[in-house]
Amino acid sequence: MSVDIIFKIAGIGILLAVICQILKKSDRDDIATLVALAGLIIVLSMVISMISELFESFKNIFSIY
Amino acid sequence: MILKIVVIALIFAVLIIYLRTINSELAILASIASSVFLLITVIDGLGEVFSLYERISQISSLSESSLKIILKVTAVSYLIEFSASIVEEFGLKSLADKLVFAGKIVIILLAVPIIESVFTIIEGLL
Repeated sequence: MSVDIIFKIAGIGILLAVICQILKKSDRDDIATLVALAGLIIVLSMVISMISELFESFKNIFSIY
Repeated sequence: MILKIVVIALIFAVLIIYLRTINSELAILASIASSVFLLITVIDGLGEVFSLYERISQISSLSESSLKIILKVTAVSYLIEFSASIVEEFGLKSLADKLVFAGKIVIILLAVPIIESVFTIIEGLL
């Protein structure tokens, strides 16, 4: 659980922005939206795994569930 | 320790603002990820606090059940505070307030046995 997860998200964000711009310029808008969606899903899965890890540490610290 | 957290938070803020200028919805995800990360680094220290609770409860005649309730109440309050701030990040102020309100109700429900024990003690005194 180190800091690089945020840099990964930032990198994906920048990459997505560039790719979408390129695809939009070469008037393939549908592929651009698909790429944007794919990037969003990747980042979403990373964030969800982080949140599940947080709840895991919550559980064994408070030992309630 | 605290300096590390402050520096990390500032770096995250700069990255999120930058993502916002690209106006992608990743900015919100990045802010959630950074808040989760900050909480994870800090939450580990909480274990010692609760072992201190246990030692105090052994010394004083505090019953085991009330200690468990104290643990649950603090857990609920941390979770509610954390999720309400995330929901507020989306801009849904009203939903965040509803969440805080629900958390308060849950805490009151958890505290019912303690209130009962207080009343039984008072009855005993009279």
